[in-house]
Formats: sequence, C-alpha cells, structure tokens
Amino acid sequence: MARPRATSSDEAPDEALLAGMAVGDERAGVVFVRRYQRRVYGLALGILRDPGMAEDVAQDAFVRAWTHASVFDPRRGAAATWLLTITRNLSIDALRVRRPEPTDPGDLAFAELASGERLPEDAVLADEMLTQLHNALAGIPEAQRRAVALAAFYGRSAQEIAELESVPLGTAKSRIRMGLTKLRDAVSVEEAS
Amino acid sequence: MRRDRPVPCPDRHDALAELALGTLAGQERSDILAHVARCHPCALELSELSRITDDLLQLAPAANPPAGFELRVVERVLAGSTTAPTGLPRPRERRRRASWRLAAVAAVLAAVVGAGAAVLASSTTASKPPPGASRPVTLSASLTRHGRVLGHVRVSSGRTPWLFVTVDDLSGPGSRTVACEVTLVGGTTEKLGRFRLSQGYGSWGVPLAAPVDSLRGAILVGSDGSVLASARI
Ligand SMILES: [Zn+2]
Repeated sequence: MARPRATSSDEAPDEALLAGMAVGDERAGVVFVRRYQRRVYGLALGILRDPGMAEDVAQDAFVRAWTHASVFDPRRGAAATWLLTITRNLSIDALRVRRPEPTDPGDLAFAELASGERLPEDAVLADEMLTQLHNALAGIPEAQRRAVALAAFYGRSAQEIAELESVPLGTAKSRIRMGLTKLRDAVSVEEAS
Repeated sequence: MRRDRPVPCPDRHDALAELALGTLAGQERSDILAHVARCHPCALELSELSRITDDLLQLAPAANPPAGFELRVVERVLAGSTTAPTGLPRPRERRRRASWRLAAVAAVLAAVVGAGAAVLASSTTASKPPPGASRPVTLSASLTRHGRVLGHVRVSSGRTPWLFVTVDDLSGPGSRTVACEVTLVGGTTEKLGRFRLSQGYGSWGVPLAAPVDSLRGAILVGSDGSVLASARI
C-alpha cells in the first residue's frame, strides 16, 4: 500500500527544516510547507474571508519564510510563531490595500474563536498551554474578546476599535488591556498550579 | 494573580498591551519603547503579553488550501532564486541551472509525497542535462467529475518528467485510498500508484517513465474500481 512515507525529514523539528531551507534544501522546504499550509492558509482566510486573496497571501508568507530562512533566530521564538506572524502582517497589509472600508464587527471571523464552532488544528489542541488559552478566551467578557481579536488578527489600533465599537478611546484601550492581561493571567495561573 | 510578579507601571499598562499587539505607532510607540528599555517590570510584562498575542495566532482555525498549493510555493521560490541579485551566474547558465533545479525539486516532491515512485523512476536515473537543455514545460489540467473541479493534475517535462496530483474536494468522510492511472496516446492505460485522501483532501507526486507528450489524460480510481475523477492533459 502506497502511503506517504514517513521519512526522517517528515519528523524533523521546524528549526532543522528552516536551517535546511536556508542552505537550499528543497526537500526540507516541501516538508515545512506541508506541515503548516493548513494553518497559514486558515489564518489568512480567517482575516481576509476571500479564498483567492488568502491563497496569494499564504503563498507570499511561505515564499518569504523560505527566502528568509537564514535570518530566522530560534532563540527569539518558535518557527510556527514566526511564520504565523508573517502571515498575519501580510494579511493585514492586503486587507488595508484591497479592502479599505473598516471591518464590520458583526462579520469578524475571529470573534467566535471561543465558540468552539471552528476549531484550531489538532496539533494546536494537543498543546496544553494553547488549549488553556482557547478556553480562557471563552471566559473573558465579549467586548474584551472582540477588542483583543480586532487588534491581534486585524491589526486595528485602539482608535479604530473605538470608532468601530462606538465607544470612547479610553474604553477601547482598557478593553484591550484587560482582555489581554486576563488571558495571560488565566494561562500563567494554570502553569503555576 | 501570581504573587511574585513585579507590578508594571499602571499608567503604562494600556500602551504595553497595544505594543504587544503591534498596533501602536508614532510617538506613542517610541515613548513606550523608551520606557521599557529602562523599566524592568514593564519589560517583563511586555514579554508576557507578547507571548499571548503570538499564541493567539496559533488558535486561528485551520483550513485546506486550494489544490496545488505546495507546488506553487516551490515554483515561486525557484523562480525567485533564478532572478535573485546575488549569486550572479550568467543568464544562460542561470536558466540551465534553474531547469535542473526544477526537475530536482519535482523529484524531491515526488519522493516526499508518495511511495510507489521507485519502480517508475528506475528508467529515469539521470544523466547530466545537456548544455542548453530546454526549460521543463509544466502543464496543468483540472480533475473533474460531472463538470465539477475536484483538484488538479500537473505534469512537467524535463530531465525527470513528473506528475503531481492534488485533490481538494473528493467528498467522503475519513480517509480512503485512491489509485492514479494515466492514459497514453495509443489508448493504453498505465497504473502509477496509490495515495491516501484525508477528509477528501490529498496530494501525491511521482516521476514518470513515459515522456510527457505521450500522456493524454489521468484518472483517479476508487478501491471498487469506479472512476472518481478524470483530467485531460
Ligand atoms: Zn514601567
């Protein structure tokens, strides 16, 4: 039976794959793309809500990661974080250029992150700390969750969030801060116990 | 709340959260950066909040990209590498090396994504590409059933001809195995191998023994022998 073979590079850690990509090892690059394509495309699609734009951005993200693999510094964070941050930033750029009207808060792909309707990748849910964070999102007030999502996924500033949600700037700022610190507290309390 | 965490400056806390989220600009941003550089509790708070914003990105729901996604990434990386300002090979050499590299990557793709390649690859053990060898031609065809596009088949000529099939919507729960066959000019059919689909999605590649211009089409066959999808090349 011809199953895809589990080769040594299939199981190689991300950092080893990026090191290989940096010196032109295409095989490492293919394994890396296969490992993350669902997450990168899913993030871009969630932000852009347009399959064509999401594919363009997801491709750009991988091409950028591949061609900049030599500057990836594992001491500064995980490869997944690096790649997803590239994806998020490219998505926000594309959103601002091609769809200048403000995001309709009622139409936020990530506002229901906590609803359990659309789940992250299995590999993510296997990570205990990320599962805690996912659960913590459900536990914070909705207005704070929306403020954090607007900033984290859509790159919206406090001023823009204030306008979108029709609240004073100070309210938007404290929603962002309270939402984010509550998420951090929930995760670090679990870690400490 | 943890007891032993130093308390960040209350009047800086909003800005720390916005800085961690990457949504601060201009004077506000440079002010808080300057503060963090000399305030340890705020620096600590910034690093913790930044970790949360990083982790939030991982919670985005995953989704299957369109068929052929990974191949297009590889093609773009290789296309870029031939025009990169560094390295400086002469244009002619550059083109030849690019075609060699593309063939090499196709072989790598095939090796990574599928077994069953070994038998077919035996006749393609390589000689070096002749000087001025032409760039491989890549053809793409839609895999369809009753007029619906279910995926794509790509074939490429060159030193190591290859076929790469991506399926992004062949409905059916769980995983299933499908066989890939090609039809040749004379009307004969050749079995290439089998690969697995998971939730209707999968991709697989194989080096080709037959020259690309002898191919007329490709079909995917289910375990019961029924034709699930076909492509005209
Ligand atoms: Zn401070």
